[in-house]
Amino acid sequence: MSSYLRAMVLPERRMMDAATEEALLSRAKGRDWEAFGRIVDAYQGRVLGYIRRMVRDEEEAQDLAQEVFIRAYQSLDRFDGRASLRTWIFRIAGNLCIDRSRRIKRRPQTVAPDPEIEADDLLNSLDERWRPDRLLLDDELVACIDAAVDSLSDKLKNVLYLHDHEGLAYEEIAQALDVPVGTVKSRLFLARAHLQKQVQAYLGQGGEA
Amino acid sequence: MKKELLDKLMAEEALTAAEMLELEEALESQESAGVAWLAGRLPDEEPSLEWRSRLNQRLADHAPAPARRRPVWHWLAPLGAAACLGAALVFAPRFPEGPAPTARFDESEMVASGLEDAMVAAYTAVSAAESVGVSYPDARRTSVAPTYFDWSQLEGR
Repeated sequence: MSSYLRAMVLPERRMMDAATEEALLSRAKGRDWEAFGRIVDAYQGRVLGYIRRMVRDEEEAQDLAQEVFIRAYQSLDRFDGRASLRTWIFRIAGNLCIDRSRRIKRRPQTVAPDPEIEADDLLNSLDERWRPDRLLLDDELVACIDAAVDSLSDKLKNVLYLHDHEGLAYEEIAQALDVPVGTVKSRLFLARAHLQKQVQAYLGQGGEA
Repeated sequence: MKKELLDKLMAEEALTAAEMLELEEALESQESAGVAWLAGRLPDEEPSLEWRSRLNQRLADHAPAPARRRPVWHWLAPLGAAACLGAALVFAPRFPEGPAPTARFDESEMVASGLEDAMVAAYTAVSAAESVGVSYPDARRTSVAPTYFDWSQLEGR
């Protein structure tokens, strides 16, 4: 994502600068309780938000989010810094969600965003005249977007959330999900196309404020 | 976007360089950015204090116990007790186990050396025995052979 697009798309987030993050990480590796607490402070809302969208059950999502930080704390010594702390934390979260999906024996995920959507629909879904940034974001529209994201397969939802909501780069997502960068891009395209179609359908029903 | 490319995306097949370029252009387009804008505005989930408190508790269960500074008396008391015990072991009188030993006394020497020698020998033996905590049998005190002096011999002179 270009810097212009990133600035336009991503809202302000509580981000730590790299130096602060590195210092906190170093102290946390030495079992500095306060330093690890500050890392949790910085990521807890984002991790919970991510898991909440992957796991719709609120209580289960909260337990999983706690498990993310416990695993991170337990394996701090093994964090070698090749990936960013953010990528590492979301990788733990993603793996926990995958484990959970396997545990409840869900059927294998398909890449296709929605069985009802055909390739032809997606071909025309990206309408150049469509300007969502000019929409009034009311609760109803947010709920519509949330529902549209929820209707995505886990694979597409994962990429869409990590890229468009969390601002991870393609390479970071590829590292976190252990897939090629090209796969990340193709999944992101499909996810956005599906999301746009859902929101347009909502707006077509008179939902536009 | 061509249908062939879309089919490839859905099948997660490898793309050619030209197809990858087309995909990247589609992702960077205005309309695609618009969707990203919407997704970016999904609200975060702010965990409750109760959630954080539970997390802290679970983390504390996994964390090594921090080294706490104990008050002075926490280590002075056992140290003092250990010092007292050590001193007691060093300076305490040693009492022998089992029946008290008895001193041997050679009575033949007493008889042979006369009264004065016998008394000195007896006193020395008793003192020596008492100084090391050994009882001296009374029977032996009386067993010293009495030496009689014949006073009549003096009257006859």
